[in-house]
Amino acid sequence: MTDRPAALVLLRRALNDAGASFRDGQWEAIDALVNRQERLVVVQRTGWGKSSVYFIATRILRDRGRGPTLIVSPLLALMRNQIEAAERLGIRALTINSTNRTEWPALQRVVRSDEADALLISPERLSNDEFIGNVLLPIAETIGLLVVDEAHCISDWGHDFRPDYRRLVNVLQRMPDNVPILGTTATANNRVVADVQAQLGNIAIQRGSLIRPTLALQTMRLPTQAARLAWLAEHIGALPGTGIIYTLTKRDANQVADWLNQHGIAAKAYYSGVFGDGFDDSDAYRQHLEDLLLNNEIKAIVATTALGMGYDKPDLGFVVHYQAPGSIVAYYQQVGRAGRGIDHAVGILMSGDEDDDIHEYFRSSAFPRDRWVQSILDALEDSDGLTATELEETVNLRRRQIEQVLKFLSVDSPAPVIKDGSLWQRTPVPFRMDHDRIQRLTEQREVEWGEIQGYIDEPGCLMEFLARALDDADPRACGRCARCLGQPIVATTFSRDTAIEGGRFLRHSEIALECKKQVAKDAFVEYGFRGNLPDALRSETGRILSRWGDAGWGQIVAEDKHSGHFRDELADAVAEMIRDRWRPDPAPTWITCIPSRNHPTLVSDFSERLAIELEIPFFPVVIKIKDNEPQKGQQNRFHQCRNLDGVFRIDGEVRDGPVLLVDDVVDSAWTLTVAAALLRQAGSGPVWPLALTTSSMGA
Amino acid sequence: MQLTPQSQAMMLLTVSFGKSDSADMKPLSNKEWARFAIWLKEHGLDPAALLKGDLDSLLAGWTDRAVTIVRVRSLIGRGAALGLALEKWQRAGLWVLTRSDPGYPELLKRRLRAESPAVFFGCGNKALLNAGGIAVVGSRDADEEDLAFTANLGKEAASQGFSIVSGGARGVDQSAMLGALDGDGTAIGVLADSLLKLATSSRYRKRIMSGDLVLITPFNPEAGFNVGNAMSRNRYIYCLADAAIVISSTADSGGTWSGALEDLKNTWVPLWIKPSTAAGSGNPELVRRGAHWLPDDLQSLSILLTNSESDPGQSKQEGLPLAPRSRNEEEDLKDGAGSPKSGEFSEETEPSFAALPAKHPQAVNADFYSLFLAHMADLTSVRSLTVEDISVRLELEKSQVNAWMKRAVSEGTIKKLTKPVRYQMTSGERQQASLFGDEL
Repeated sequence: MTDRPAALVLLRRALNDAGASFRDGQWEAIDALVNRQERLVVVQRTGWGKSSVYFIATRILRDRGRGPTLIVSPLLALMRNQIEAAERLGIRALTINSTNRTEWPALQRVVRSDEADALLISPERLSNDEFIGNVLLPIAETIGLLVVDEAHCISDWGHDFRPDYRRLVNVLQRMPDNVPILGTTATANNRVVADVQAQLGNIAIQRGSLIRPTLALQTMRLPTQAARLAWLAEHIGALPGTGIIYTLTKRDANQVADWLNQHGIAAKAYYSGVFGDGFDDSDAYRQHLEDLLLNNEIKAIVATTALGMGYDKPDLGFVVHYQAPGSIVAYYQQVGRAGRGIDHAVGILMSGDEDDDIHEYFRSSAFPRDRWVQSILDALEDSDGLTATELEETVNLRRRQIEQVLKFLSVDSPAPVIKDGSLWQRTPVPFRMDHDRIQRLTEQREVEWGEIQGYIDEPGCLMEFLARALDDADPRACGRCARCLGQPIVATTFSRDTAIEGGRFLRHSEIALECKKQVAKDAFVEYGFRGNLPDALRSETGRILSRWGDAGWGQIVAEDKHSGHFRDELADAVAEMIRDRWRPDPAPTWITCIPSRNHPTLVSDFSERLAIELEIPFFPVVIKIKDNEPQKGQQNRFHQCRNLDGVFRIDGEVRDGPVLLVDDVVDSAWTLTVAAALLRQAGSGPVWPLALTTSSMGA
Repeated sequence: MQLTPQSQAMMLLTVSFGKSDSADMKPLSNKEWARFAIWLKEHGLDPAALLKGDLDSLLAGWTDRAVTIVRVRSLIGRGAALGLALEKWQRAGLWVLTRSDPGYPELLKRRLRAESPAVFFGCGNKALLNAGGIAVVGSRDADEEDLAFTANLGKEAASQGFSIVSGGARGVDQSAMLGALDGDGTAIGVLADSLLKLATSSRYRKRIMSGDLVLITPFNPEAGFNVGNAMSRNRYIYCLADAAIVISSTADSGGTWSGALEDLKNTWVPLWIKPSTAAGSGNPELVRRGAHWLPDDLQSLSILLTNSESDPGQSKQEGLPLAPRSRNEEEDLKDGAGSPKSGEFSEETEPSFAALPAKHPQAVNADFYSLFLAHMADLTSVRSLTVEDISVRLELEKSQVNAWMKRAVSEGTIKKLTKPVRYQMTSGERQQASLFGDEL
């Protein structure tokens, strides 16, 4: 037994504060974990001191000769203040994640020789069987305490239920009662808490007040992106300290960050898979971005939901939403990061016209379709295992779709598929899609989206609205939000000129277009392309004018594609983009385009007008000689390549100068890749590909 | 499927989770576990109690040079590893069967007593484990002729309603099992390694899903091949069967040889040897040591379950269809009309932690014929059985079985099948038997 005074000594040492005392619930949680080996979920606002609880518990258990603590957290690394607290307690905390793979053997040795006291891994690691078998299992036999950060993700009802957490639940359910478990979260309403309890069983709940007394909230409806860009440009600089701007898509994160930088505001885009020059992988770059913000070296990070989980910066001055999040819990999770260690911070939620469509897309694409699932199960049925690449050859699905299906199937328990090394194998487990569950979750998300609308238009106190929605025990008006004050925290106005400039910026948001380099094996029998395309056949880096339906040119391209004629305005816009911003060098001396049998004149007619504007000749030398399936129906590399084999021929005068190769909608870019290679073979100069829009969402 | 705390404790104490076990962490062997379990039982402790509470006080008085309290503490402390390992195994569709679970093969408990494993991992139709069958064993590197013979034997067993029990290794094992499965029969594979891999292989996966195959192993389902494990699992093949056939063996070496000798020594099941004249074959020597030549004009495999009287090599087993009867005479007498099918261990072999099945007290008050019918409902739920088979399983005289059979057939509760003569509960009765006690 360890008593409260002894634990208090540890707390004071951890915080380096001789006068510190336990916050409500801290000692009770420690007592339950170390003295009664109990299981506990604590629902406490960010900054309450959850890490103090598990570090002190770790210290006590280690002093009794127990094994190290395993912390499962979406954080890439412990926050600096956590590391310092751990160090003061003499706790050696290690992180094993994808950024330090080369150190794994050494880290494993440290853990196996019992020199580590705490080990931080991400939930993604826990759903990797190889990692579990080779790295975790050998050291798991001594784990003394298990901590699950962001425990609300366990629940189906959590706003951002993650497949990896589903796997984690299955692991936790199978751990005997003598493994103490601590779940922590800052965002869970009663339904989520009840669900976590139902899933883990035999686990106590402790909840504290979620109200953030230093946070001033405000909501604004600004329908157009141009207006929101203008508002950001004119007001972000005056917001307190540094902060986070949340967007719904990666594309928006990039766009907003670019826009802010153009207006002299240092901002960086952050999302899963973001890459930065000079960094080995995305995780390393993300950690760098987190540090930049932590050290206040930039004004803002423009992030998707990839940032937030566990990100703990005491002096975060503001959280602004460029688009509305999908639920109240998601919003509280994000805005709750602001102002926990300072007297004043702001949380501003902007909502625009496109939000609804984006969330509709998220909901409809959250689960794989029956047909995809069935085709993958069929493919695996008669095999002893296939790699993802082999699956691509067998089923006509996108790599992303294949991965979504495999992930979806593999977190079920029991699961119809299991991964062994790089091989996906069918298990002897019958499978049926749980449509009821999918429908229930989809409807739940619709309800949550409705609640966010209620928040945006709430006439009363905004903090009280959040607290009520989160089932806080004692919701009260905050006296600080825009509603309580009866006036905006930050002015909702912006100048007309900036808005016009924002509109122009959106229309100038062309995207680099990279064609393919490596062809799928055995896909080009007629053309004989194999392996890596030789440099001499590759195209240059081209441009895409817009994204399908976006706020710049995307909507106009989409409309015109349906009506069968691209308006002159688009030819003007492309010519302006080529002349003023892209400036391909060597400049194209002639134009050609991708032919279509279904719409023989749509693209060629546009290309001809573009040729006139650019004052260079148009030669339609790419001829289609074979009817193939629509390329947009080809879902992965192998099928996309094979569908194009022998389809085009070059016919007529091919100039040896640089050429602009035009298409309307680009998806995988294989069509442009093949046409460019054929043009080069026929003797053309460098090929500059150009498309009006891209069909991928970039979410 | 969630394990009971008792099963969790048994797994923590006896199963290897990782790839390396330090001395302190070495899981208990079958014998060590049995020793420990009996002590726990004697002291009124459920293994689940070890998960909570202070081991030093719970185990005060337990002294064992090998099974130290330090070792027990380390093993019990592997809870996180148990969760991780079990999650993967169950996700792949594997199940866990501990000695205290209903459905644990009775024949193993009776024949091996303390040596029967505390935990089996498996995949497929559990009911097959209690349905007996014919064990077929032999070399991994058998020749074509032997393999063809084996596959045929498997098919024949299938058509006569017998399961094949084998080891799942390549060669003879695999031919026998696939032969039976291809003949729409059933098979039990007792694996020495790689349960997870075999369960997901296209070769066996569909058979598992259709309920015709069960694969089990007492070892970590991801363990690789290991000679010791391969040797020690042979006894389970014999003990799950009613008779055994050796296709090919090498004299004085290999698992087939030592497994066959083990069966001869313990007289678990009648042992039959395929005639072989190949140089270096151990087959003749096995017959010399007490096994029987497999008749080449064999019509009905049910003959293998008893010992053919024309065979001179069988004297030592004469009149004793199964070994446990001779060794457990006393226990059999106590059990009267046959021991209960599921659940608990018999008192002297192994302590029981499972609650007694509710039907047990009722059964004591039933007349012998009703008891017999209740057992028949269980026994023939998977397939029909011959009289020999039934008498062996229920440890009754054949004449008694015949008498009751006659009555049951005339009452229409049991139907008689021919070629060979077999009996099975009629489907209506089977259903009723399963609804018994749950009439609403």
